[in-house]
Amino acid sequence: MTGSVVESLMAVAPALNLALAGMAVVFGETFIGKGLDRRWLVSLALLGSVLGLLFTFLLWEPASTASYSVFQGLATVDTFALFLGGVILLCTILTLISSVDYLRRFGLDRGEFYALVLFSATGLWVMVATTHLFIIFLGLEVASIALYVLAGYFRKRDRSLESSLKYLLTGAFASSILLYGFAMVYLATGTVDLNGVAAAVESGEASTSVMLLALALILVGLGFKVAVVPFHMWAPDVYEGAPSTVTGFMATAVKAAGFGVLIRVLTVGFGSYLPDAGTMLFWVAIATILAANLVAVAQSNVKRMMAYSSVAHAGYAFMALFVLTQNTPGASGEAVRGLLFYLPAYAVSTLGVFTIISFLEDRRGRGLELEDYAGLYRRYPGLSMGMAVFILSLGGIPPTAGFLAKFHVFGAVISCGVESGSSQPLALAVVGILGSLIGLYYYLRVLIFMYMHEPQEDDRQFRLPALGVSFVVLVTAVLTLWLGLGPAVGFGAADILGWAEAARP
Amino acid sequence: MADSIAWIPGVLLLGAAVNGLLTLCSAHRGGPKKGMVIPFALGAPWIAFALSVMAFFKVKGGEVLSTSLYQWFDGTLFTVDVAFQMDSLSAVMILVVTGVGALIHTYAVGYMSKDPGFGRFFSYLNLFTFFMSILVLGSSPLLLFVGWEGVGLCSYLLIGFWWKDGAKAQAGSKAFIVNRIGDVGFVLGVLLIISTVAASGKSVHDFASLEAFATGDGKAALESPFIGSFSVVEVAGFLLRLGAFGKSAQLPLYVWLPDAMAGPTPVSALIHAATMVTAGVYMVARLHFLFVMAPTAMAFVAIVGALTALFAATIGIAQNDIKQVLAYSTVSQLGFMFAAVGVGAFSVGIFHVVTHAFFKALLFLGAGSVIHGPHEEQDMRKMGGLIKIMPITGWTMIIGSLALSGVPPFSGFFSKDEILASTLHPHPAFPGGIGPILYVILTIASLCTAFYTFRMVWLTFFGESRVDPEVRKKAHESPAIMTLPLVILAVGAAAIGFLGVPHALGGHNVFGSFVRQTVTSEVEAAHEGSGALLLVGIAVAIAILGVLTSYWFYRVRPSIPGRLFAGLGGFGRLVASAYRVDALYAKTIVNPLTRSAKRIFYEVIDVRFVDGLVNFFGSFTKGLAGLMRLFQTGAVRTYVFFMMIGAILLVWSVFSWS
Repeated sequence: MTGSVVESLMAVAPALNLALAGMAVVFGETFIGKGLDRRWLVSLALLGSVLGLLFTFLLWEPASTASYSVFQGLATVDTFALFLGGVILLCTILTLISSVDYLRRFGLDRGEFYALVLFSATGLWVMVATTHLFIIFLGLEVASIALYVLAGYFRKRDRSLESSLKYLLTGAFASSILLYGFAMVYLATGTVDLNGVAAAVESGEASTSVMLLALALILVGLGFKVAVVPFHMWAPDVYEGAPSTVTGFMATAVKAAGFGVLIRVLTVGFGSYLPDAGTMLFWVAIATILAANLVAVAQSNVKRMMAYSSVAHAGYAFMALFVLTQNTPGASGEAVRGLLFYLPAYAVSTLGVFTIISFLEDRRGRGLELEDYAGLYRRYPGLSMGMAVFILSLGGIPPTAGFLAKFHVFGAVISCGVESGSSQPLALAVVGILGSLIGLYYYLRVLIFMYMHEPQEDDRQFRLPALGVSFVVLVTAVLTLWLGLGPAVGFGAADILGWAEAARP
Repeated sequence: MADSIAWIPGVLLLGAAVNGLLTLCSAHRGGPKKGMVIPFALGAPWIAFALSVMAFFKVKGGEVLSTSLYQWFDGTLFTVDVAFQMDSLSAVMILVVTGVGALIHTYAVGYMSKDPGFGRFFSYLNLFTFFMSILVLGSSPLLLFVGWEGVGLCSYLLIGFWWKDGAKAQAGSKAFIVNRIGDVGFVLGVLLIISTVAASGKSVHDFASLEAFATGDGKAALESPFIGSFSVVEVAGFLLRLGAFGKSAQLPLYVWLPDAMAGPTPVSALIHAATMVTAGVYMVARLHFLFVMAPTAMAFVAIVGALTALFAATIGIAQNDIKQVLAYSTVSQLGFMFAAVGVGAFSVGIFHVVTHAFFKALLFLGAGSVIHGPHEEQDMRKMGGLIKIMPITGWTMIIGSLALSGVPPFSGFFSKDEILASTLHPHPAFPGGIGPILYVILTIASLCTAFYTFRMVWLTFFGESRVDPEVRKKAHESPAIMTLPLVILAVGAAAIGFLGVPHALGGHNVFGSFVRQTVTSEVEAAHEGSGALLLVGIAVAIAILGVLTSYWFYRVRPSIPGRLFAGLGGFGRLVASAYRVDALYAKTIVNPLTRSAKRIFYEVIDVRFVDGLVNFFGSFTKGLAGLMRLFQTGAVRTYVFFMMIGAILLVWSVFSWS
C-alpha cells in the first residue's frame, strides 16, 4: 500500500526511533556536556530502541496482511523486514546495555558511542526494509561508517585503531565491488528496484552475461559483510581489536542485515539466474565451514576464536542460500525459514558470549586468553553457567537454540537433496555436520577450561558482575534455551518458527 | 486450575529450585543462610501435604482426580501426556510421601543444622519428594518411570551427600549401579507392554486405558506365547518385577540398601525406609491388572519376597551397628510386602507400606537422635542405658519397636497379621502348597523380627551404660524440632493400624476397602475376611515370644548370646557378615567385570584404538589449521589480494557453470 507522509513515517517508525534517539543522544552529549550523568543518555538510547521494537510489534499485524511500500516504493516494510529489523533491534538493545559497564570501566562512557550504535542500527534496519538497491547501499554505508568509528573507539589502543583502519580499507574495497555489481544490474535492466529487475529478467530484456557478472560481484560485496571465505580475512583482526561489545554487535546485527539483503536480492531480483550461482555458493559454503572451523581450532584467544566461529556460522547460513539455487520450491521455503530462525538463534548466544568476554576483559586488554578462563566457574558460577549455555548452543547441542537452528538448516539442505535427486546438497550437509564436529572441539575447550582447569594465580580482582551484564547474560541465556526448547516442548508453540514462516519474502 | 493436583509436585519442585538456586548463587560464600533455606525447605512439603489432604477428601468421596498439563511427545505408536491422576491408591501413597516426608524434613532441619551443605541437602530432599510425587501421581507407566529414575538420582545424590568420604561416595555409586540392573528390567517390561499395545493397533496413554486394554480386547494378545510357553504378560511381569526388586532391595539385588546407610539419617528414614524403597510395591499394585494375568511371575515374587524377609531378618540379628539393624529390617519388611502383593493381596501390601512408613521412619529418626546424642556413635555395644538421658527418643522408639515386632495393638500387628493370613489364600492359579510354605517362612521371619528389634531396644536404652564416661557427660536429648516429629510419628505408628482392623476382630478394614476402589481384581477380593481368629492368636504369640526371648538373652542372661554365637561357630560368623553376599558378588561379578573393563575395554579399545583415532584427527586438524594460518598475515594487502582472487573465481564460476 502507498499512502500519505504520515503513513510512510509510521511504517519506518522503528528506524525513525533509532535515528531520533541517536540524534538526541548526540545533542545531549554536546550541549549538556561534562557534568551530565551518562545514564540519562543510555536511557534515551534504550528508550529509542525499545520503542522501535514496540513499533515492530505494532506493525506486524498490518504488514502481514499487506506490506507497506512507502516513500514512492523506496522502502518496503513487510514481515520479512520487520522480523530481521526486530532481530537487529534486539541486538542493539542488548549491546547498549552490556556496553555501559564495559565503557565505564575504561573511562570511555561517552554519548557518542551510544549514538553511533544507534546510527549503525538505523542503517542496518534500512538495509533490510527495502527492495531498492540504492537504498540498500545507503543503509549499508550508514551502518558501516558508524562501525568503522566504533571499531576504533578505544583510540588509545593500537589494536583498536588497527581494527578500525583494516575494516575501513577492506570495507571500502568491498563496498566498491558491491556498488559495481549494482551498477551492472542497472546496466542490464535499466532499474535499481528489485521488482523492476525481476520484471526485466522475466521479459527477457536483461542481458544474461551482465546479470551474471552483477550476481557474482554482489555476492562478493555482501560476502564480505557477512564474512565468508575468502572474503573473511578482515574479520579476525577487526573482531579482535574492536571493543568487545562492538564485536558482538558486528557479529550479530550486521550479519542479520547482511543475510537479509542476500535473501532479498537473490530471491526477488535474480529469479531465473539463481541456478547459475549454485556451484559458487556450494564451494563458498564448503570453504567457509572447513576453513573457519579448522583455523578456529588453532586459536588461543577467545575473542579471535569467536571471530572464526562467526565465520563458520556464516558458512552454515550459506548452506541455506545454496538451497535457494536448486529449483526445489519445498526445500527453499524450509531453507529461508531455517535461515530466518538461525539468525536470532545465533545472535542471542553470540551476544551472550561477547558480553561475558567484555566483562572479563580488563583495562589493559587482558583476560581474553583461554588460560584466563581457567577455573572461571569458581569465581563466577552464574556467568559460567550462562557461558556454558551459549557455548553449547553455538556448538549445536540440544536443547539450545543453536541445535534447533542447525537442525532446520541442515534439514532443509537434506530435503533439497531428496527433492532434486542431486548428490550435491547431501555432500554439503555432510560437510556441515563435519564442520560442526570440528566446532565442538574448540567450543567445548572453553567449557573444559572454565570447569575443569584450576584457576591461575594472578592479581586480577574479583568484580561483582554489573547489573547490566547479569541482565544481558540472563536474558540471552533464557532466550537461547527458550528458542531451543520452546518449539520442542510446546511452550510458546513454536512462535518464532511461525514468525519466520510468516516473514518469508 | 487452582485446585489441580499438579500443584503438589509443583510446590515441591519450586522448593527444590529455590534452594538449589540459593545454594548455587551463594557457593562462593559457603552456602546460603539457614534462615533463607528453611521457609522453602519446610514450606514445600507441608503445603504439598495440605494439598494432598484436600485432594484426599475428594478421592474419598469416590472421585478420581486427574489433570493434564501438556503433551510431552507424540510418537507414531503412542502418545505421552504430562498428566497426573489421583485415585485411592495414589492418594494413600501421596499422603505418606508428603506427610511422613514433611515430618522428616522438619526433623532434618534440626539434624543437619550444623552441616555446611544445609542448602544443598534441602534442595536434594525437596527434589526427591518432587520426583516421588511424580512417581505416585503420574498417570502413565512412562511418567511413573520418570519419577522412578528421578528418585534413584536423588537417592544417589543423598547417599553420597558427604562425598568427600570416599566410602560414602562409593555407597552412592553402588546404589545407583545396582538399581540400573533392575531398571533395565523395568524399561524392557514397559516397552514390551507398549509394543504389544501398539502391535494391536490400540492407543493407550494412561493406566486406566491400559487396564481396559488388558482386561478387554488386549487380553488375547497379552496372553499369547512369547518366549517358549511363557506369555507376553508373564515375561513383562517378570521384567517389571526385576525393576521392583532393584528399587525395593529384594534378593538378589538388596545389597545396595545396607550400604545406603552412609547417607544422613533423615535420608535413610525418608528414602530408604518410608518412601522410595516401597516404590516397587506401589508399582506392582498399580499394575495389578497385568500381574494377576501372570500367576507364575506372581508366585515367583511371593517366594522371593518371603525368602528375602527371612534372610534379611536373620542378618539383622547379628548386626551391631544400629542403622544396619534397621537397614536389614527394612529389607526384611519389604520382603513381607512383596509376599503380600505376590499372593495377590495388593491392598494388604500397601497397608504394610503405610504402617511401615510410620514405624520405620520413626525408628530411623530415633536412631538418628541416638547417634546425635552420644556423638556420632552407631555401635550399639557402646550404648546402653540411654533411656535416662534421652527419654523422648527412647519411649518413642519403643513404640516403633512394638509396632515393628507386631505386638497388638500397634500398627505393625494389623498389617503383618493380614499379610500372614493372606498367604494362606494365594492366587488360585498358584501351584498347591505354596501358601502354607510362605506362611511358615514368614512366621519364622516375624519371630526373628521381634527378636532383633528388641535386642536393639535392650542394647541401646537399657542395662548398664557402656558409653564412654567422657562422652556421656556431653550426651543429651535432641532439640524439640527433632523430638516433635518423633512424637507425632509415634502416635501414628501406634494408631494407624486401626484403619485396617480385620473382620475377624470385628473391624471393617476401612483402609482395605478404600484401596480396593482402585485395585479391583478377583484375587484381591478373595482375601476379604480371611483372617481367622486362630491365625491372629499365632501371630500375637510369635511376636511376644520374640520379645521375651530377646529379653531373656540380653537382660536376664547376657552371657547367652556370646556362648550361642561361639557354639554356632562358622555359621554364626557367616550370618554376622551378612552371609558374605557382597564378597560373593565381588568375586563372581564385580571383579571379573572391572578386570575385563580395564584390560580389554580400557587398555586396548579405549587407549589404543579410540584415543589413537581421536589423537590422530586432533593433530591432523591442528596441522591443517597451522597451514591455513599462514595466509592470515595481518597485512591488509594480503587480505585484499585474496578478496580479488575470490572475486575472480566467483565471476569465473558463474560463467563457466551457466
